[in-house]
Amino acid sequence: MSDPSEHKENRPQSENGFLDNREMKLNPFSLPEGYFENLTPRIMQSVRNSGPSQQRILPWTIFLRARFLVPVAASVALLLSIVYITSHQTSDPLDFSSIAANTTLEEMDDLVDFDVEDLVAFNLVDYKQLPFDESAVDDIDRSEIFDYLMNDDDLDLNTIYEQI
Amino acid sequence: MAKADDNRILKAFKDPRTRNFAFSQLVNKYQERLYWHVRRMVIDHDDADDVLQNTFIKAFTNLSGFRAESQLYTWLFRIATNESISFLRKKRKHLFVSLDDVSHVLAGKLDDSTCLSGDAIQAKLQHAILTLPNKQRIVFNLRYFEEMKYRDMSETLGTSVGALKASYHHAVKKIEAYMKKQF
Repeated sequence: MSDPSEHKENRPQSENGFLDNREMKLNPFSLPEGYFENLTPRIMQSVRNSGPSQQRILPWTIFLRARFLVPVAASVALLLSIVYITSHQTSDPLDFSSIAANTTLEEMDDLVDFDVEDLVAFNLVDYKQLPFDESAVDDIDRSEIFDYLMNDDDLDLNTIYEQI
Repeated sequence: MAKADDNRILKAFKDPRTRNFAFSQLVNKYQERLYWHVRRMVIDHDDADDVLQNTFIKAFTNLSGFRAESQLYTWLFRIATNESISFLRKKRKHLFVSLDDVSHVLAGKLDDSTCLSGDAIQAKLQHAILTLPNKQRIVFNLRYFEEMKYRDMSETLGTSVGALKASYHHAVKKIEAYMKKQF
């Protein structure tokens, strides 16, 4: 005998019944005629074609292929030489870290039209040193935080669920 | 072709002489369900066709390592889901757009006259679903359209049942709110 709770679970319910209307579940997408009829042979053909290539590479053809890389390698070497020479000719390189160390946040703000996020992004200000307004967090709805986290590709649902 | 039993398919797949036949039975059994799952994610038919083919190629490559601890269909849905997400990520990078803009691109495809043939109400529902983040869209589609049990969804997505229930609950609320605005 089947478990009644399982049957109940099998019928996803919404709170006000709008999604309970079976008509909503009807498939609205169109499909090319006969698509599923020849899908299996087509997929089997793709599977066969995706197998490892049997083409043999002869040793002398490796040189022929590699000769196209010679001009590329020469260009890279030339570029690296130019970068090396110019970097050693500069007597007073621009050091953002030392500028940041000798400038207050207010002065920085007057000089350039950066907001705090920009300064943190360029590592000019340590975000841990910034004042934290806890009342701002209280104003945020939990569902907004949920939505924000849901849009982060690097977070899985388990992590989001634990955070909320 | 009659739908074959999963255990028989897996057994036949292990024998090199019957491997291709067994796999064609697997494709025949699951192609339609997987296609619709992918199609609801990527919207466009041609894209769904590509993602589905990649799904089965991955399944063929990895089926010999499949462990019977999980169900074959949840394993296939997992591959299809991962392939769909991977496709949407590539699309986002290719178009240099944000996730929100990808949703707009997909919504634009929904408006294409060749994409939908259903009633306006079902089209509206698809638009509402597209407002959800991808993770939530997957959960909603599997639960609402596939009517997959939370236990199986948990196996498919590697997510706890509690997190899935919370995600589905939020998704339903957002969709209801969207639909109310439309009428």
